[in-house]
Amino acid sequence: MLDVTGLDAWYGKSQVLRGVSLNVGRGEIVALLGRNGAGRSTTLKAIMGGVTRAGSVRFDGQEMINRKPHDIARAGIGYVDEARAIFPDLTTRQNLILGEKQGPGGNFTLDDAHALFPRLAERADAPAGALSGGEQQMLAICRTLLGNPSLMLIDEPTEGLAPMMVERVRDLLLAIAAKGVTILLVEQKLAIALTIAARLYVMGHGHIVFEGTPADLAADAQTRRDWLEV
Amino acid sequence: MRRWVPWIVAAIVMLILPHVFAGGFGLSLLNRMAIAIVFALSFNMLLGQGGMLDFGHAIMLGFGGFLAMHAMRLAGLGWYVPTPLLPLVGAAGGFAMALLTGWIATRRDRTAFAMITLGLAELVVAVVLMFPSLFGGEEGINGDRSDGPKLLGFDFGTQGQAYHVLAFWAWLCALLMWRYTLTPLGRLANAVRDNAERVGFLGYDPARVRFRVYVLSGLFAGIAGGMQAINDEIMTSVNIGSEASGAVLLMTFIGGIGTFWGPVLGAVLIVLLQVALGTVTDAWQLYSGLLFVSMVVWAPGGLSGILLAHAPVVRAGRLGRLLPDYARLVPGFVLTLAGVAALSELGFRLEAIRGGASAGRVLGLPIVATEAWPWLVATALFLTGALLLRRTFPAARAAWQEAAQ
Amino acid sequence: MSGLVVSGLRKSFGSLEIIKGVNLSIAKGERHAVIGPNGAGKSTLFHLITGRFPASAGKIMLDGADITGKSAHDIFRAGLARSFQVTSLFPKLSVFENLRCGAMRTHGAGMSVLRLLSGYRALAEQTEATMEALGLAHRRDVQAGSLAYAEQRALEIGVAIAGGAHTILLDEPTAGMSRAETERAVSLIRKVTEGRTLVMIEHDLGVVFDLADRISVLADGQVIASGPPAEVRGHPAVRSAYLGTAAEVLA
Repeated sequence: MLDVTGLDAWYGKSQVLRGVSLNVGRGEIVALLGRNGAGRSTTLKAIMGGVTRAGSVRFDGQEMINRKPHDIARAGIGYVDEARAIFPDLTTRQNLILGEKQGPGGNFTLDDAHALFPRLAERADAPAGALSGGEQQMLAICRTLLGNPSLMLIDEPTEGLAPMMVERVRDLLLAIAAKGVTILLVEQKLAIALTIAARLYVMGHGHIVFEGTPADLAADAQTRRDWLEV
Repeated sequence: MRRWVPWIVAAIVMLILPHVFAGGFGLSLLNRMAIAIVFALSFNMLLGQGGMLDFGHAIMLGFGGFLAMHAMRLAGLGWYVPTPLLPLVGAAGGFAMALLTGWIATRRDRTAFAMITLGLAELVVAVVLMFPSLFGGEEGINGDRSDGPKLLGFDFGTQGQAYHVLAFWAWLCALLMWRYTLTPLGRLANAVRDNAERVGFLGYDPARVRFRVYVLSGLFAGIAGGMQAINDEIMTSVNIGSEASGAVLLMTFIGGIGTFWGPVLGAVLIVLLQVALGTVTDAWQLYSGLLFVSMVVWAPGGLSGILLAHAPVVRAGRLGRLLPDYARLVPGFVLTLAGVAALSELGFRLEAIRGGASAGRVLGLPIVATEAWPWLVATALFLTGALLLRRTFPAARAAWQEAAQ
Repeated sequence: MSGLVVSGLRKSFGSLEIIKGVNLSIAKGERHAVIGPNGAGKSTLFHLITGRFPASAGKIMLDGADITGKSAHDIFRAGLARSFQVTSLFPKLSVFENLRCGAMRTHGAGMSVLRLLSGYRALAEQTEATMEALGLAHRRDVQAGSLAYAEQRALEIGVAIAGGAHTILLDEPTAGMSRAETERAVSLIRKVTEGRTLVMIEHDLGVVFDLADRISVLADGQVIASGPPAEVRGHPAVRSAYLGTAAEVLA
């Protein structure tokens, strides 16, 4: 579904990604791990076209490297930013409606979003800027889901969420993957990443330093010690 | 002691300059630059350092200038204000105006502040025109700077003597405004620029910080007004209006708002453009406007930003590597510039002819705006230049990225 | 009564009531954590205490003085400082300058133009000390906007404590941090809040049970439990509102 080869990326003058290569199969959940600053968020942003990049990003057989972010989104890739990026002066409902799109990923509706996170229904007419941090997180995830993407790039979905919400999001991710949506996930909470991901990549200093299954990583103390902190 | 070196060097340079540019034209240029430097530095106290965009900064310069003008004329009544001290009168005028307008404007920040200053500026101009006895109506107020008491035998009537007064005040004001950046208020202004809300949570009311900075900035703008009164010996409603406010915004931004000395660069350049181009063409305002727009789009850090960005390259000794690719940009740049100038002059002349004027000349060449061929030539110059630039730019950018690593 | 006391606090935004009658009593020198589900009103509670929003009803007392309705800058001067959930620094200023801004008020550096900042010796010394304690001395002249995320969060805490306030409010200080960064942040918080009153909003329960002397649980605008960690852990209302495992699969 997603084939990234030799991806380089720059923030202004400094090169942040160096030859990143990874792939995600249809319906898989793949996690991108690594320390803060390793380049995980940048990798997602680069796939989405949000930073200066070079290399190859093939999605569903098509080359995306020269496309603009809105074209990439139209092609069926949904992106949930770590910084949430909701529209503070629009209401919660308006934010969600903005994300609504016919897409290959299924038929997620506004009612589904409200059922999943009742809080969003309660706050439907409040300006999204008045929502708490965690509520904005829920809003950002649902807004992307409403676009019914076939591939979701998600950056730290559980950050700032209370333990109960974290579990709900974990179950949600498993559920949408079961429906055939492909997920590439950046997740700080190792426990979550290891339980839901089929495969994972570990990044360090802008490139991939490990590729394998959760079991492979559990067995590889060296990598864990060098590139993560477990 | 080392910190004083740049200021001593500047003082020496300022003393030497009038001997290098000795003619009346040269001195007139230097005098206008001195005034513009103080005005632009005071403007940047608000914009670059404080995050406040003031659309009506000339009201403080203007009011200070008018007050200084009246003080100059007091000589006729037997009250003598020494000419070199007139900028202090200007300071009082700028201060007073800033107290009045700042009290209203600094309650809000960002866009609201800018809009309020815009409104206030128009209000002040309207009021000025309403009191011709105080502000001279359309003709303004004039005076004679040599009417004041003599100091050490100088009556300050000549341009050279006026220069020394203006240069001194420019040097002193720059020094004081530099010192301000090292004080608590100066630092708080930076903090309010970056994050006004957080400043509140650190024990300071951001609106009060803005007010103090605004008043201080007005004081220095008033000094520039006093300097202008000395130089021009006339003050009119034009000097207090939106054209003057726009000009200082332009020159500060072009010079670069991110550094202390950027506005100085901008002031020098724009005065040069104003005076030098003003004698050659009627369209000089269009050129400075185009330069401003180009800066906003391509180089928002201004000239000082561009220079600063190249500093590490120079320090690493890699400038030599950049020069060939930069040099290749020059032909395209020159042609584009020639095309833009040609089109501007033709357009300007066309409008003038429609208004009844006769054909004009620029640089000795007649401008024939009513026939097709000059337009075609101008457009051809512009397009060729633009294409050349497009072709040579990627190489320059690549060389820059490599050198900047 | 010393410490931070909140009584009958209410806050509505239009017809939406966020805080529905909160009572909290935090003793001087206590380390207190506020936990609760998303949208419970934890950050709003902080905003009311620190003067960002005026309360709709109720009273806030700091060390016996009524600070209800006071402005943010007056509350800071009364000795209460806060950090933010979303990092709120001065991006163009260096690490050192950011911290110095946090300490200026308490060292008597008003909005003055008479003395140079460099003339305030004690201010510079305290700022250096704070920078050392934060472990950011090696990043002294780096612009805050260019720091790595965890460094920014450390600086965020630093700016709040730099002035020596006696009551510190930290809003999700370890958000977005890895395990190791969180541990460093916890020992940092423990060190710099020694002898001060600390109130902390947190989702990381490891941090909460590690640091807090007492915990209050806020749910739906009200405190549903308040007490020592062990007591709160076993509280049934807390379990269902916050800690429970409700697995809802999308149909």
